[in-house]
Amino acid sequence: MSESPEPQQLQQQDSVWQWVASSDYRCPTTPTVITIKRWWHSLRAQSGKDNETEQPEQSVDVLKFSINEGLQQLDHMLQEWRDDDEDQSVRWLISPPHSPVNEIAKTWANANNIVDLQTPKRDELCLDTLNVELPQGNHAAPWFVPELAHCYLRQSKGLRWVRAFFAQALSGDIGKGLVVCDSWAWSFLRKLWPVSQPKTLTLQAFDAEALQTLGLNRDVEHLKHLASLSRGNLGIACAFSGSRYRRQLQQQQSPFELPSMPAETTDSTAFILHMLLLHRGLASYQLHQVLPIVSPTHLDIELQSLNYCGLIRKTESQWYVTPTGYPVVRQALSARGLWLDHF
Amino acid sequence: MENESVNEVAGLFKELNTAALIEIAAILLAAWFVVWLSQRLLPWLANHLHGKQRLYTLALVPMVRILVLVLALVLIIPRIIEPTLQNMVATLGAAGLAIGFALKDYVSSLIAGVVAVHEMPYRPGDWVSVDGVYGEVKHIGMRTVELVTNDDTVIWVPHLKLWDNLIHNANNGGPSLMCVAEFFIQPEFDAFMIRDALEDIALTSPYLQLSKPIVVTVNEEPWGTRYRLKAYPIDPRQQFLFVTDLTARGKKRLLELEVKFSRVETAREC
Repeated sequence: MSESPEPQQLQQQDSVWQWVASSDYRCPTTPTVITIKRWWHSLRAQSGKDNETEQPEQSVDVLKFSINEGLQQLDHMLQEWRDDDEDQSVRWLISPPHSPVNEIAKTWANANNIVDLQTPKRDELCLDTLNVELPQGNHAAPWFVPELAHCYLRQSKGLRWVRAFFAQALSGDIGKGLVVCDSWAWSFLRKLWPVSQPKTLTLQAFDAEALQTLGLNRDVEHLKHLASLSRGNLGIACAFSGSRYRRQLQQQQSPFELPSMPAETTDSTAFILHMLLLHRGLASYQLHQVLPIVSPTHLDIELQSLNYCGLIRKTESQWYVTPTGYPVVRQALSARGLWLDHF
Repeated sequence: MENESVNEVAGLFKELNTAALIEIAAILLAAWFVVWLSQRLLPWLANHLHGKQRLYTLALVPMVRILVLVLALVLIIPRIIEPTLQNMVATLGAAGLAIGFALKDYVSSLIAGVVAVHEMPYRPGDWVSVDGVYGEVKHIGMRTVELVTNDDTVIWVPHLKLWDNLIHNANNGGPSLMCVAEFFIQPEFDAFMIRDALEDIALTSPYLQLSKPIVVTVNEEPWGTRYRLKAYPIDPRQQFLFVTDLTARGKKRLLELEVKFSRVETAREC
């Protein structure tokens, strides 16, 4: 397969499911005209000239989608690489939080009988007995890593396996493979081991037109705001597709109802959220492993507070940033100067 | 003769009527209000920001004050003195003489304060060391700069120090401030193994500014090997907790690697 994805992109123009090099990701923004228009309405409303008392619109239908088209496009994108026995390179799929990239990649790997590479469990990553050697690859059979973010811990002994993995995977020692990695983890791991951008693919952002094509019936202004809020992330757009929408900005800065950060947001709060995103979810005791500077009691208090605000949720003992909390969390981390993903 | 001199001096000044006095009072009041407002609003705004935006907003405080004071003087002087060359020379000469004798240090500090605003050896938000005192610049006044140390002690340093003291500025108006955590190890251990372990310690610190490099330097001392782990925190205010995090986790990791720390014998006087 050629390293540049341009030829495939041209063939995908009719589909809203476009796989592009991660550097070609274009985040949708709210057009300035719409923003000014909204502020004008707000000013009129505040000065009493606009007597319409606005009730937030409650959307009844939420966006539901099928990954089939995304799967077909991915298959088309990886077809040449999959079939070329000479090509022993690794392909990387970058997945922003809650986006459907993981699900598509898993389905594609299953459909092509690609087996998962044996990766250590999180609790084994910091053990002295950890074996970082990977089995030498059968060059005819590709392998699959469903989530690289679960294969490291940002802890003094937690980077050994992922570093060895990069060394062996990129040297071709273990054959060809497909790796899915969370966008936040990828942003951090690139500091550990830079990988060339053309080999990293992601789903192009879903802008207002794409959301409409997927069947979300809203006016253009609403769709553009939704695309901008979700930064083109389909999972986040789905989470907000059924939420209330205000046409006039009053006290709130967003037309959507967003959860708030806790009143007492400290460095510890930001670090906890950052670590949850970097690792795509962590258990409480793992959070303590990666943040020993925060005392266990304080950590629990912060987790409860964030949970109460609706920014994080616990699923099977792991804490995750919620889809509706994600835009708020990302904004808060950006304001504090923390290392962000590129999506 | 004496009457002529008195008349000449009196001729420098305009006759101050009630209207002029009210105008001057209004100018002073407005200037004071703008300065007072900027000294409260800008730091309040800065405390809601982080990184560069915070530092740039804080740096506006002395700038605004100097601009307002110059503007106030420009508006007041023509209301008191007839602004001819002769009058200005005579007035400034008399003022210079008084200042030279009575208020030398005070005025020197005021002038150094103006120079500090122009040359910016320190700005609000900077971490500076002056005369052995290390702290964050909280406020730049007309005569003094207010530092707050890590122990929450407030220290007022006269701008006068600017003329003849070395000023060490750790971040120089930016958000990048290098921190150093030191480790003293017995000399027989593998330096590269220790370097790699220390680099990972920095890389896994939540305080680390990832866009900046991490460096470990090694040098031999009579009592062992000194390792200096150098890295940058996200915000200069985090420097002490950053070094704490690096030191605590670095020590733990080195003990896991069964490295032995040096014990420095203090010299005894014979």
